[in-house]
Amino acid sequence: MRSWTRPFRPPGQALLAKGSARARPLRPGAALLVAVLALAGCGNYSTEDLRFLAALPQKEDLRFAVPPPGQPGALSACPPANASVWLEAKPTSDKINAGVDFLLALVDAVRRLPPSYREEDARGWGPFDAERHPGREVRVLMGRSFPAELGGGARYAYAFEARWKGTDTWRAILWGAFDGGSASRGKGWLVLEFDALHALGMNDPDTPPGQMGVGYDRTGDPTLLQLVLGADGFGAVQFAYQHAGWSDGSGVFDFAFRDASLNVLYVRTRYDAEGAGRADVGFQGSGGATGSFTQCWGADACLVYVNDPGNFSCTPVPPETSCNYGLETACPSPLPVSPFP
Amino acid sequence: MSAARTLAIAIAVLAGGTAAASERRFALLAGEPDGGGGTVRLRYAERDARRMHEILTRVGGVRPEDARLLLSAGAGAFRRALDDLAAASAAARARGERTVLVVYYSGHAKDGALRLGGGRLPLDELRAALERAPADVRIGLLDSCRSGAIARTKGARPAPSFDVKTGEEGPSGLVLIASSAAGEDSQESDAVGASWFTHHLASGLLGAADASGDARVTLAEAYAYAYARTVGSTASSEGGVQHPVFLYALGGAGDVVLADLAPVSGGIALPAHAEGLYVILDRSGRAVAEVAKAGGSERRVALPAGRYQVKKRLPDESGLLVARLDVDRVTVPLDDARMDRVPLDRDPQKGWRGKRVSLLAGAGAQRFFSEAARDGLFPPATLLGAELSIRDDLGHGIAWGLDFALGGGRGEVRIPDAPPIPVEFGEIAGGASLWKDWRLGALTLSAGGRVAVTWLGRSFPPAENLPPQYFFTVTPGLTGSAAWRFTRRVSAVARVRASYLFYNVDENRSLGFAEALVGVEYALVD
Repeated sequence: MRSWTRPFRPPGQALLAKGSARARPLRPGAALLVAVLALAGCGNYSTEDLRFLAALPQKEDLRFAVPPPGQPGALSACPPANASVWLEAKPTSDKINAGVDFLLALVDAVRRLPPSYREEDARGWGPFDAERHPGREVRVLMGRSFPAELGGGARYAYAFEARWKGTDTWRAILWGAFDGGSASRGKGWLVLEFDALHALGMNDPDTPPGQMGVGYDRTGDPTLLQLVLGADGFGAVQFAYQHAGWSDGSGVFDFAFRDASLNVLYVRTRYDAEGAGRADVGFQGSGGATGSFTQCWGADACLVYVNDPGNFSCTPVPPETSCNYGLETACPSPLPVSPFP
Repeated sequence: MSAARTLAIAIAVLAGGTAAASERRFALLAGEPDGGGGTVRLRYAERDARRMHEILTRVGGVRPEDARLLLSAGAGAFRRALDDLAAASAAARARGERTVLVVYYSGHAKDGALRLGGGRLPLDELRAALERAPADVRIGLLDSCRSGAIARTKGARPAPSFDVKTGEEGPSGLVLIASSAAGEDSQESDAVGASWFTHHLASGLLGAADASGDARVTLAEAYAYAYARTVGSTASSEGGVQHPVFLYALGGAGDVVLADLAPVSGGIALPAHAEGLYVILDRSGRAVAEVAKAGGSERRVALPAGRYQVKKRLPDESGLLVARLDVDRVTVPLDDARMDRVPLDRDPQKGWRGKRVSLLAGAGAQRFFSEAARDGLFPPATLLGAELSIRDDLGHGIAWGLDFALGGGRGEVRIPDAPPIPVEFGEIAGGASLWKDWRLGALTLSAGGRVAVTWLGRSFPPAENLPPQYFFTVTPGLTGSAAWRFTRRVSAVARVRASYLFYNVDENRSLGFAEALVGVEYALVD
């Protein structure tokens, strides 16, 4: 299993303390020429800027790409029933993606602007006014290093900080790190500080408290994405959401959701390229009861196997006395093995 | 007898000169640059013939239909034309008209014969043909090496002028004038774009030889002027001094008026107090007339309508006086006081044509020398450009210009461990150049320096969500071009520039790039 490391502590000015360690002195004649010409040269034409910006994740890098379940027409004709848990996977991923979008809205604001501070291995943006939050300003600090363990590859660390205009104290609202040349091909993590957003009044109505941590690894197949929601928010329950997506369309998605009866279900799904799969579900009933059950379904999202000794997943209709259905051998096989512990 | 005295005599007899208007005149004018084996092709023989043709038909009393202009036509055509004109002259005489036949030749002569391409026309044959031609006056004008041989047998001599009889009857007989003596070469001059003798003879016919100031140039005046000026012009030449010769066998009295300027409107008038050598150049910088003038009488040079430059070298060699004149149907007075004083290197006869403004428009491409720069920063671009050039403004052959270029292209930015990023690249540049021109006929080569301000920008597809970038800097460089002049105003130009760009955003880096441009240049002010 691949995993990512957290190479640095919550950032701040320390990111920019490196300076231009690799700057070389010029001979006097060359320095004079450089000085004359440098007076005329100006602009933001920087490929290095592009490298820094490429290290920041975009939507498609942090998206839980869960396939939609089966065809709508087929669902109504499922004997004995459709895969109710699998049907929750897509709506839940959409809610989580909404949280990611909230996070990336901050990132995108930076991508539209050229850096206002530039050193060989550092970039800075801002301070600039927070678009949706008058009276607040944001700055972004980004540093780069080349640690030995990356074999010459680059590691980027960044922090988005905000404050009330006119005050001295910056608070980190988003910080993270990334290893690689491009977010679409590297791995990284980031933390969104909801508490800081609340303190600064930069939250949305459904912004949860606490933190949201996101890790991603797009260096191979599958691509990995983990999102730890520290508290309920964005319509999703507090959970460590995990997704592994293979290039053939198969995947693993671990998620949680609250059903209509306010029971919380913790689901580990594995699905093949056609969408057929298996869910191992643990639940915590609203009344305090706990248990687990298993469902398997076909590509049409119709159940092919249910092992629910507690009859949690259905209400048996006589003469049926159990939610159990079919044989486990009917479950699709092979299914991907989860890379997550 | 001194030249001045002889001229004075000639002037005195001009009152008895025969007016060209009472005669029917025929003219054969031949230019033969190719003299066959063992000769070098002449550069100006055809121009000489064209020039004499233009003068004789405009001020020489020769009707256009009575003139035959032969350019590289050969000996056969020459003989046929001479026969045709002799027949026409005979017919005119039969009608009771006096006739004059003028035969002019510019080309090679060798071993006692005119060389007309591959053919030969022995001088004796030509002389005999002129002697028996049915015209009252036959005039042979030969501008070729050793052409004096045509007059040698009967006492022709190099002399500054010939005496003219006075009396009641009009002249009749034969006059032969050759540009050089039997043992001399006749020389061409790149400076005047003609052979020396024809140049001075033509200048004389246009009025420079009108010593009497009566607006009529007689044969004696024209010869005297051409002789003096040819000897003067060739005295220090590498080819040796060239002495025109004549054979004068005219009976009767009076002189032949070769050019009657009075009926011709338009021209340049030099006032009586003007002194010195005035050279009149046409728009292409070629000398059309040269007036060596002494003070005392006004001198008028009859010129067709057009724009001319007149130059006069100051006696102390400290500079030139130049003037640009537009001649139409009235005579334009020229006074030293109204001429511009310029340095010697602004001699219009040596290519200095005054300030010329031209506009160049073209298309081309830009490419940085460094592959890393092309992949990571500035991809190749297509350019559209325009340039305003001012030539010969700062000195002879020195030009400066202002240029503007707009261009762009598409490419990819390649950064390590990341997919290529599509990019649209744009460039805007404006520059000022200073260069030197070398003119080689229709071809002009140029080389110089340029300083430009250059804006380079790039943008990315919306999906990349990356900000546009730009860079603005000064880009000094070198420029070179080759221009081929198709017409007086239109040239095709190929231009190459190599420029330096100091890039200082990501790092301090010296880059070079080349621009190539092909376009059309149009002279706005010429």
